[in-house]
This record gives sequence, structure tokens and C-alpha cells, in this order.
Amino acid sequence: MALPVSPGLYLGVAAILYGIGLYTVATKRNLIKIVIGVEILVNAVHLNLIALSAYRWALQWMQEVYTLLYNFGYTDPATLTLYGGLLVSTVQYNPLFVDPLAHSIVMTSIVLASCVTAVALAFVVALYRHYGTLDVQKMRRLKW
Amino acid sequence: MLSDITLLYPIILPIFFAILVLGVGTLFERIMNGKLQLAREIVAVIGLAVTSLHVFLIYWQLRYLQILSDWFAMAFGVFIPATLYYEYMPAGYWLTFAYQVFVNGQNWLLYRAVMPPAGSVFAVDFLSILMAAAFTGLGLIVCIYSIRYMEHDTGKTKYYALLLILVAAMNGVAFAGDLFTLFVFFEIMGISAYTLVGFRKEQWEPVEAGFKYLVMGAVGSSMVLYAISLIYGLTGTLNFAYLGTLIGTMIVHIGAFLSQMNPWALFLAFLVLYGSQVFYIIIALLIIGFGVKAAIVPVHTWLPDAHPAAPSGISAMLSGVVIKTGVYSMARALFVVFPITGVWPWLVRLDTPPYNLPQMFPTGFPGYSYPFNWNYALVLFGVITLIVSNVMALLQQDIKRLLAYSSILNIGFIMLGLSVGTAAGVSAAFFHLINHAIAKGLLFLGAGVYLHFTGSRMISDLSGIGRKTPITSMSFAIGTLALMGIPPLNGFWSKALIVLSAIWYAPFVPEGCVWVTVATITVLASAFSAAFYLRLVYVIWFSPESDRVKAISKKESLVMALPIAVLALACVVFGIYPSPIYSMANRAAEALLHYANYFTGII
Repeated sequence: MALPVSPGLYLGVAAILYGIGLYTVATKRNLIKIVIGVEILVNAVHLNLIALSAYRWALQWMQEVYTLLYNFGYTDPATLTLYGGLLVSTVQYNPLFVDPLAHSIVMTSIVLASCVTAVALAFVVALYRHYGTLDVQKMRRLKW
Repeated sequence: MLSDITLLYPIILPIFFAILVLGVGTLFERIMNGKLQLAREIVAVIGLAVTSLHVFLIYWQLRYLQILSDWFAMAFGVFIPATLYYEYMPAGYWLTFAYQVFVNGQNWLLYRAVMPPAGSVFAVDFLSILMAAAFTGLGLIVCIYSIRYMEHDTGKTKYYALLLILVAAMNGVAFAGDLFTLFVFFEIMGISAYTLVGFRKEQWEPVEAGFKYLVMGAVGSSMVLYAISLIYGLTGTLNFAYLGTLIGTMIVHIGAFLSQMNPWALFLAFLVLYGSQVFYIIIALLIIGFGVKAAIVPVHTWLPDAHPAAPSGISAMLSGVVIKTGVYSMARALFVVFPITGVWPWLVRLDTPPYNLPQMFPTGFPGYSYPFNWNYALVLFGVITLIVSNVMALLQQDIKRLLAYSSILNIGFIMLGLSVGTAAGVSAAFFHLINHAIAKGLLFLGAGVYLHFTGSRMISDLSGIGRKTPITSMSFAIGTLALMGIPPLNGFWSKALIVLSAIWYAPFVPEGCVWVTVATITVLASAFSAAFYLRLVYVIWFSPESDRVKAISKKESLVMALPIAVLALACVVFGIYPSPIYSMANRAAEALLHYANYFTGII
């Protein structure tokens, strides 16, 4: 069985993408670019979720910690009764198993993000009708 | 009763009535040529009234569950492990229910389509139902008020449909039993709120404020989703119940293990230090992400623009309940997933888990029960919020902008109450949350009446309007005094309880001086806020009439004055007799802090 590659690459790329998204939202003057920045932010998080669904290193780490605690005599019966079933059900780690929960989350979140983008673009159209420009600097009548 | 679809009616019914409003509106606009007077308004009001009724029914269901389980616990004080639950499952519905109520001490209700941790879960406890009652009740009042206030607007079909969807989404946030369900309803709430802020799109101000709100809200939501993804990566589940067991107990076990001091303990200490950085990132993302919607100070800038720009009914909804949804989500995520610190937890938190404390500290582990101390971050944000909003509110000339800064101020009080983290502090925070929803809803609806009469939001144009609109202005004065904290009114009790809870907590922690400072700053901020509240009362009642006020010839509309008067009556009644709301807030705080009760049932 192949050992799972570290998810660090994907998590790092997601973090960099998130940074690019924040930079875009904070500095760009064009309204459309701000909306694109919001999309980049959301999609960076989606990448993070998908990477974590395939490489659940933390679960393996937790399982090791619990095993370690058990071996070193931390075998309180009340605790084991309470949390034993939990460990069996959730902390089973199989490197070839990709968790479908994250995928359903990402699909739902894509739909929500597209709704937000649609509303944002509607606002952009309305702003363009009022100001005749897409430049944020020229429409700062509110105290931003 | 258990796993019953009727539990979801507070979410389903408003959506159903929103569809009905859209249908009736189409009939009204296209086919009947405007002959069905008030059809959409009546459908929307009926929808929210039916939803309020259902929220009330679910509250009484929960109350009876609690009474039953209390009686059983008094009669037979036994503890049966939660794993036995599975052995009762095949025996049938009623036996499961009886087990849940009598043995497990269930005082919450649950709806789930799939077994956790894979599925989406709705769990209703006293906190959820308290929030849902506030959301639906204020929604109903705003809907009645909007009949007259919005009468000259076009596109009212969409207005009422969006208002109903807003209420449904907020109820969904309150009822969510896992982080992702919460996030989905949070986004739906956000989308309808952005659209309602930009409702009058023919003016420049609502469109610009709405876009600003949307960009800030979307960035905040992406931060929340980032935090959710990291929590998912750490634990493999998003269910509140599982998360409450996983992270909290993992830390406690590791802490107890570390106290044994051996080489493996040093290795584990390294792992804990390495892992805790992730927890800090997650907590920061949660606080800032939910804080954007809750309008805590560094990320509050959308609020003073969005509130004046929105129609007044929507300002009341935003200020009264939508920003409270951010506070609720923050409290739920942080308190359940990351239980906070406390030295001598057996003294400070007698009412909270872990109940099996003697076994958890077999070697006399002397330190903290949990290493999470995000409540000090909340203290920091709360204090900054109090100072900045107090100063900014003094500078405003626009009445709705002043009220918006006053909302930020009260979010600061609520955050400080939550940051105390004891049952007293959290219940005081939720008590203040409800009181502020009542009073600030009143003030924004009153400001809407003034805007309706004078066409101006400038405070100088409103001077002396009290004699022209007596019912509204009397109620407005009552709401102002309630938020100021004048004793016979409801705001006094909640502010006093927040201050007292900080003082009560101080002797139990080494950082006691922090909590004394918090109490002092709360009192001072409350005193300073009298400056701008009293200015409003003075201008409206005791100043000479301005030209715009002299020009008013209309009489006060009863449809608009009545909801305001009802809210003012609530301020007075809950001020004189606060125990119903306070006991509800107390039960809500217990539900939030007693997550053991929560997780033994859902798992």
C-alpha cells in the first residue's frame, strides 16, 4: 500500500490562494476584480477542504495519541465507556479512503458562492448605472 | 416528537409562505391589475404569525421534557452510559423516547436524516429556541410595520418574500446541529440581507452600502469556511456533539497525561505545542469571520453604512437580530468546540462538565482544565468595540447612523458578557441580547416613522417632533432610556448582570484584575453612552420645532405606531418583571455550557 503523500503542498497552495484573494479584495479598484477576489477566496477554501478529505493525517495523529495514552495506563473505565465507541467510529484511519462529507460540503458551498456572486454582479450593474464607472475610488461617497 | 419533521416548521413555514407571497404577488401584479389590496402583506403576516406559534409550541415541548427529566432525576439519581442508547434503539420509537427523556435527561429535540457524523443535523435546545423566538417575533412586528411604511414602494412582492426567507434562514442558523448546516443558513441569511439592504436600487446610497456589506460579509463567510475546513481536517467531523467530545477531551487527557512527567510526556508536549498553533488560527478565523456579521469593531465598518441605507424595517431586523446571529454562531462554535479555561473548574463551573472530574485528574493535576483562553480575545475586542462606538456615536448627525453605532456598542456589552464564560455571564449576555433586540428594533422603527414624516434623517431636522407624533415619540424615549440602563426598564437588569458576573468571576482566577477592569469599563461605557442617548430624547421632546416638523400635517398612522408601542410595552414589562426572559436566558446559557447533555444525545 502506498503511503499517503503529505497534504502540505495542497494546504500551502490553498493558503497562498487565500492570500491572493485577500490581496485582490483589499487593493483592486475595479468592482469586477473585487468580485473575482471573493471567488478566489471561496475556491481556496474549497481546495483546502478537498485536500483534507483525502489526507486525514490529523486523524492518524489523534489515533496514535489515544493509543499512547491507553498504553501508558490512562485507562479510566468511565472515560473509555464514554468515548470508546466514538474512537471506533470516527478515528479509524484508512489512507485510501476519501471522505465524501467534504465533497458534499464543497458542492453545496459552490452553489452558495455562485448565489453570492450573482447578487454581487447585480450590485455591480446597479452601481454602473448610477456612476457610469466601475472604479471604486470614484464612488466612495460613503465613508469606506 | 423525537426525529420529527414538525421540529423544522420554523424553517419550512416561512419558506412556504415566501413562495405563496411570490405567487400571490404575481397574481396581484399581472392578472388582477392591483385589485387584491394588501394580499401579499396579509399572507406574509399570517406566515410569520404561524411560525411564531410553532416556535412557541416547540418551546413548550422542550419545557415539558425538562420538567419530566428533572422529576425523574430527583426520583432516581442514576447514571447510565450513553452507549446503552444503541441497545434501546431497535425496541421502538417510544422506548427510545422514554430512554432519552427519563434516563439521559434530554431537554433538547433533534431532527436528522442520516446518522452522524456523515449527515446534516438539526438540534434544538433552549438557546436555539430563545434565538428563534427573537427572530420570528421581531420579524412579525417588522412585517406589520412594513404594511404602512413600504406602501409607496414598488417590488413589495420581493420585499416580503425576502423578509420571510431572512427569518427562515435565521431560524435555520439557530437550529443547526453541525457547523456546515450553520454555515449554509448563515450564507442564505447573508444573501437575503444584502439584497434587502440594496432594496431601493434607484438611489445610490443603498446600492453602495449593500455592495460594501456584501464584500465584507463574503470575506467573513470565507474565513468561517476556512475555519470549518481546518476543524474538519483535525477531527473528521463537523457535528457539534462530536467536536465537543473530541477536541475538549483530547486536550484534557493530554494535560492529565503531561502531569505524570515522563519522556513520552515531553514528546506529547511537543505535539501539543505544534498542534495548538492550528487551534489559534481556527479560533481567530472564527472570531473574525463571525465578527464581521456581528459587527465587532475592527470589522464593523459595513454596519453604519448599511443600517441608514436600508428601509427602516430592515434596519430594525439587521440591528435587532441579524447581527445577533453572528454573536450566536460565534458563541455556539467557540463554547462547544473549544471549551475555555478555568482554574479550579470544580468551584467555578459546578454546573458544567466534566462531571467525572475526580477521575480526570487522578494525579492531582493542578492547572487549567482546558487550555483555550479565547475569552481574553473577546475581552480585547469587546473593550475596543465599547470605546470606538461610544466616541463615534457622539459625532453623528444622522439619527440612523447614531443608532447603528449604538448597536455596535451593545454588541460590545454582549461580547464582554460572553467572554466571562460562566453560566452567570453567558446568561446575562443572552438576556442583554434579547433586551437589545426589543429596544433597538423599537428605535429603528421609530426613526423610520420620523423619516416617513419629515423625509430627513438629520437629527437637527427632527427637533420638537415629539408633539406631532406622541405615541411613537413616547415609545422612542422609553427605548432610549432602556438602552441607557435606567432602572425600571429592561436594559438596566442585563447590563447590571453583565457587570456583576465579571465581578463574581474575578476572585476565582489569577487574572482577576482583568475582570474587575472589564466591569469598570462596562459601567463607564454605559455611563458615557448617556450623552448621545439623552441628546436624542432632548432633541425630540424639548427642542423648538424645526421647519420640517412645522410642515407636518399628517396624523400618526396607527399601523406604524402600534408595533412600536408593543415593543415599548415589552421594555417596561420586562423591566418591572424580568424573570420570564431571564429564566429563558438562564436555561439557554445552561444549554450552551452543558454540552455533555448535548453530545450524549446526538452521538
